[in-house]
Amino acid sequence: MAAPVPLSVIGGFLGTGKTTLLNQLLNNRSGIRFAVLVNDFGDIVVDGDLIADHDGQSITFANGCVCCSLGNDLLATLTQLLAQDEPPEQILVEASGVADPRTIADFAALDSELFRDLVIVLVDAQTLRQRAADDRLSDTVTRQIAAADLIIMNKCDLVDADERRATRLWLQAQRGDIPIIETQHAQVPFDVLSAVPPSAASVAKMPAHHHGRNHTELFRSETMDKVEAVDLKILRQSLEALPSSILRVKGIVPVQDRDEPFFLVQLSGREIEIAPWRGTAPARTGLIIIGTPDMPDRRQLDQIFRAES
Amino acid sequence: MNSRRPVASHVAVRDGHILGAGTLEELAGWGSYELDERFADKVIMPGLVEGHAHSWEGSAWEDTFVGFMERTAPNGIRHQGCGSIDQVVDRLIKVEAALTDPDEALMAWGFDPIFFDGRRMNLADLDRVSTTRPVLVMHASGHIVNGNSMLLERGNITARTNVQGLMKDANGQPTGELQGPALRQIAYKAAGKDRFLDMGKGEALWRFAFSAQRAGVTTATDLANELPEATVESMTALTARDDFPLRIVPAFVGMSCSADDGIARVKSLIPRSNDKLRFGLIKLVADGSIQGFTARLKWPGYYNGAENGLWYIDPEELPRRLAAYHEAGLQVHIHTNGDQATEVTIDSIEQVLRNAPDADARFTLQHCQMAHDAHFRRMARLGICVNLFANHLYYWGDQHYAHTMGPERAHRMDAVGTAHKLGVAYAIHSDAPVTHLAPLFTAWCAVNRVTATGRVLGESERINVEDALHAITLGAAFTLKLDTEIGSIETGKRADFAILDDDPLTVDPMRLKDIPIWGTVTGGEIFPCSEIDCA
Ligand SMILES: [Zn+2]
Repeated sequence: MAAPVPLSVIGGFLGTGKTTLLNQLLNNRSGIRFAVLVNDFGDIVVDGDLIADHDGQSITFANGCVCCSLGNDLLATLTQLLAQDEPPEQILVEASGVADPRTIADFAALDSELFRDLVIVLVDAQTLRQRAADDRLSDTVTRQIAAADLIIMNKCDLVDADERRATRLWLQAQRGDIPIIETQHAQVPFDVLSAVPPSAASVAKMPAHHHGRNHTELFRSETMDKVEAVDLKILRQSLEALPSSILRVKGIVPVQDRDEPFFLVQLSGREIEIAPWRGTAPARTGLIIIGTPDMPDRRQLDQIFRAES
Repeated sequence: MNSRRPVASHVAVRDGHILGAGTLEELAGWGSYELDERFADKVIMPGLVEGHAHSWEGSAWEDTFVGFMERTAPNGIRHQGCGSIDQVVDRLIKVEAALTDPDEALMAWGFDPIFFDGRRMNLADLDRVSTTRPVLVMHASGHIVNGNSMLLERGNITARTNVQGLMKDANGQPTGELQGPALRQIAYKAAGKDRFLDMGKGEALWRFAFSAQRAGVTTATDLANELPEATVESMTALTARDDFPLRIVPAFVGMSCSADDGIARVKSLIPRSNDKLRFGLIKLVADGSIQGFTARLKWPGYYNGAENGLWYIDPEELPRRLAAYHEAGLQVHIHTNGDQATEVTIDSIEQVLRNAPDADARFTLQHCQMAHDAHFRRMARLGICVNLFANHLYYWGDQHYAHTMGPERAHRMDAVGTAHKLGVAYAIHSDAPVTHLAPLFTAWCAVNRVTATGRVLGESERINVEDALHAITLGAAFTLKLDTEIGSIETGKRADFAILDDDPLTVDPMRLKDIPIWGTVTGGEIFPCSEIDCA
């Protein structure tokens, strides 16, 4: 059986930037094939050279991505996607404005062919606190935020510094335990959204990969090259020991004492997936570790992972 | 129900329509006739109109009924209510013993633990039914299922499964109770049955029609349906048959796709309508249910302190969806249970009508169980109709009094009297199969407002029998914009009748629900209940 396909959920009210975010993913040039499930693809924008096919139910992109309508029966839609000859490498589901995104992530938690990736909740810096004070919406806002593994505070360019700080403090009071990042136009580094290690991408087109500090200072990432075979049990312990400032780990590593020479490693929020790598021998092995700017530095990471090297 | 001629001795029918009602001499003026006296000792009413039911009423009966209140199946067999979890299990053990295929899943529906004082069904209960085949019990709420060990095994649901809706005991073991859409869909997959697809099947539609026929109903809504092609095909084929006894008004699920796609789909279906099938209605759902604690309530919320319910549509998206369908010329019915959902919906409609005025849009609020006088006043002024869930008063009235609403608000639930007094066009309904399909029972609920234990809820909200009969005929037809065709016995309307053994206007109002129904006439075709042939 192939490694489980990561499924991420994008939640947030109407107008928070969900579609903008999904448009970026669908039009990506990394070679990773995403399937994006949306309620309404009226607002999905396709770069002219990327569209391959459009029928009533889905849009297929020349880069291998597909955007399809969620339909009434998510389980059936997911089953269909996974049964394809070339199943997607990652699935993103757009939750409706008022849905609890966790109920969608549950589908991944229940299906051995899926890996529960991040629940990403977008909030609009302009309207979040208004919505949170509106008794029609306040509990729905709270539920969404409680469900998140990552909060994207979007439209920060449209509020002044005081408002921005107040909104961030309000969010931190709710969720001090997860990364909250401030964006404009929902511009989130691609590596944060993708659970697929670049070396595993189906098309051998490596994205320009960020090392060290990201230009927007939203995230830091470290690349730990692994050439020596690791002990999976110890690797798992190391992953479990990572602090909550680490949002994602992804990569392919060589392993000891197993029939399969390489394993795919993914950590998303607190979920860990380690599965045999079925593809051709990867061009590069190692782990990409992504977190907020206060994540452990290289020396600390080395310590955490030292036990197994 | 023709106000100028409320009672007549004869009715003349030609080509499926009513020539007139009056004396034999009056009607003889239409020409030569054949006098049919078989209903001489019966009471002929306009065919009853069920403004809120589901074709699921037909497919539900493929599974074993385990509800709390007694229920009659479309084949006429009466099923006692299950008064305890043990009674549910005992019934399932009997049904299981008769199954021949050892792998077939045993499915049940209508289970309603709100009546069982906190005791929940668990794995041990259903493992008494079978440990070798999956057993799945759907709750009345539709959101929760219980399974046995085999069902969990097939669904690969274990103590290690980590999702919110999986109920576990003190030792961390699953109890068999599965909440939420993901677990529910996994459970159905594990059972190997897709009840959603089944709804559109021919047999299910026949059973829906027979259930309606037994209740004197000649027109019923299917509120709502995604209307996939297979369903549309079986609906068009069956309703075209002379021997199919029911007119169906399916509403399209208006939020399963973009509004543009929804409009295109419904507009493509409208020309496929026929005399007994009418496409064009849209349904939106604003919130959940009161007894499931998923309805959206205004302050101070649920009486037992349960947290507020769920929006099924974003309150900010609701006016946009409503506007899109309204401006495309399509009529919309909106499910609103809690008072907050009702208020948000009225606000939205007001906004839509300000931009695209229409004095006869007949937006209809479905259920609308907690609406306050102020809401009804606005509905009257905005031309919004209401279809109130009168059956709730009997079925869950005691639970509303004790747990959900508390005494004061329980008295104002399903305020039919207020709707009448304030001039809101209203109907009353069953939401079958949530409660049983029987408009005379629904009328009885609106007239008497008595709960299952005999408590009267909101005496001042009672309406009289004439008004209740109007609500289950012309009143419901009005909400469907079909009042020019059905709902009364007068010249030009369709020859649709309910044939009763007794006169609802003269029986004791407490006996309204007990009047035997002989059968129906639909488009002049006669359908006696005694001839229903159904598994
Ligand atoms: Zn309903």
